[in-house]
Amino acid sequence: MTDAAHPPDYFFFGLRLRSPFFLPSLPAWPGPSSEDAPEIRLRLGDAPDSLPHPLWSSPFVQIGSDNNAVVEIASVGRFWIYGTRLDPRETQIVLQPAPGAQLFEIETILLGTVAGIVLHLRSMLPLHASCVVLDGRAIACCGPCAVGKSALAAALVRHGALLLSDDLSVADVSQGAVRALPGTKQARLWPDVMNRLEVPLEQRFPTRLGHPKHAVALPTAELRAWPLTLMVRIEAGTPGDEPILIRRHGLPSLFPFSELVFQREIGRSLGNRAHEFRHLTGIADHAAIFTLQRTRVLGDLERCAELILSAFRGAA
Amino acid sequence: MSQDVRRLSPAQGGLFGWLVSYPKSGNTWMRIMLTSLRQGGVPIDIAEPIDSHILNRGEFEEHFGVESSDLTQAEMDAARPELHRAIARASKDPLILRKVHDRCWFTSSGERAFPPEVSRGAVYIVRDPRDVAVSLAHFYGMDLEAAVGLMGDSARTIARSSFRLTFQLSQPLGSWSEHVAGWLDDAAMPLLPIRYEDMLADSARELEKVARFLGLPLEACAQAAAASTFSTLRGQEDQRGFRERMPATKRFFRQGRSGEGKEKLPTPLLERIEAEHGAVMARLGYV
Repeated sequence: MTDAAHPPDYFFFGLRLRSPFFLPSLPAWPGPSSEDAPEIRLRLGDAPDSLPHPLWSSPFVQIGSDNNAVVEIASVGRFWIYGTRLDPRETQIVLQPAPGAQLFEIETILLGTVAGIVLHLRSMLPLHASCVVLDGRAIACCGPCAVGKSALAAALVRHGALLLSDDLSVADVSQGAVRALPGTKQARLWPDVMNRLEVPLEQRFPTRLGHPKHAVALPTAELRAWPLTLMVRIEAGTPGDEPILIRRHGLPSLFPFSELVFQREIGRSLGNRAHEFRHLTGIADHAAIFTLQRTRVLGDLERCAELILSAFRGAA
Repeated sequence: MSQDVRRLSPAQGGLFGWLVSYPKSGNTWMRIMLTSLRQGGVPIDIAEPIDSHILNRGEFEEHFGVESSDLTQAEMDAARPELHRAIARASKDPLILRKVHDRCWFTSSGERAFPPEVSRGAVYIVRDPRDVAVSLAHFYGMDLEAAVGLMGDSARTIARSSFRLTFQLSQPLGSWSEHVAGWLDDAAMPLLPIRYEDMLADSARELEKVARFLGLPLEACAQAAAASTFSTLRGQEDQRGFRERMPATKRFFRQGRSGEGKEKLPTPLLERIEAEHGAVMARLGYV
């Protein structure tokens, strides 16, 4: 499972992650190798199958009362996430792989569900968004699952944008600005989208055994924070209608929060509600927010991309 | 309706009122009437999302805190009973109405997908399968033979795709006969059968039966039924559209009548339906 050639540390949604094995979907941590302590250590070990007195639990996730969590996907493995008491800046992820689990499956769960929990535990709001960079500025495509965030980001890449993150994104709101941070280097797409975007078969990498969704490496933006100037909330519209893009203003432009925040219930169970509000309103202060009403069929994908690009240029 | 169908009183404890049917059997019409009833009989704007929707991935993720599209179909299916329990635990509403097209199915470990302990009961809406075939063909944009074939397919599942990410959770459907017989005989919860043909004859009367079964106030039934006539809904769809229409369909609310199957299906397809579904049709008085 280890690979001597892999970089020592990875850029994990803005945090420095040290992994014992190769994580091809994550960018390497920039800068020279050093002995600096990482913010997240991933290691192999035994993980508990449950936590005492959980704040929140489901068949897949338990959030403990002591800044810890367990994620279990039976055929992939168990992830135990906890903050160390000696150094609150460091998060440990202990992985107990399931027999026969593939590394790409572990990476899929690590960079989705587990990453969201790590960010919530560290009070870094994970957005349910795929981001691209164009002309030095970031565009976030947000919305609930299955609304087409990844497909739209990939379509924007076809128009010359560069992928910044897929499905899970982090925006840094500080010093009077909002900046989107890099996430994974790949977009995870379903066959209908890959076919429509003519992704060659050899560029489709598995995410789970026997699962139709594949990871596709797209041209990525330089590893730095980019000013987030446009946030597009994708909503399901009436079948047959042309997609429309509508400018939104003020606090209502953020409602419902549940469609913007990744694993929002977990963040709420950790008492992050006030932080969530400050963070989202901070984004709204700096980024132009639009809603894109589109059907769930792919035929309008190009039109949606054109609408967003038109708004993006108008907001420049 | 024949006498072998059980009519039971709804349980008091469960929160879920399942509105169950094979597709194109009048489920949406009943949902709209119930939505109107729960709002005192006012007309419902069908251009907006209507209540008692089919379970979707958003709810799966909200209650389970996991990225659903990273799970396999088997992992999602195994979690369905617990999802229903989780929704019931989190609900502040004393009645959760949900549209269901699933057959009465079990997980691979033998657990019921629709746990009786969180179920108040199931309203099972059934329609003459010959009319269902014609309506299905329009809904999916397929020919009549394909629609009849679909209705005989035991392995048929809605929203299970290895090609695209679906918003709804997958719904094992089975054949028309399996669907009807499974729910009528093995729901393990109080069940109210309703015939689409009876809804056409007197929608207020059938709505009142459903409302009584679910424990809803009865006063506004006539008003809710009058506000939700087929022609009203069709007119609304023509003016503002209906978001539950399939892209391949011209309109969702199309004819809303019975007997169309006998008129439009060629004899070989009528014979095929009777050969495949005759036993269940006879139970329901359709032959």
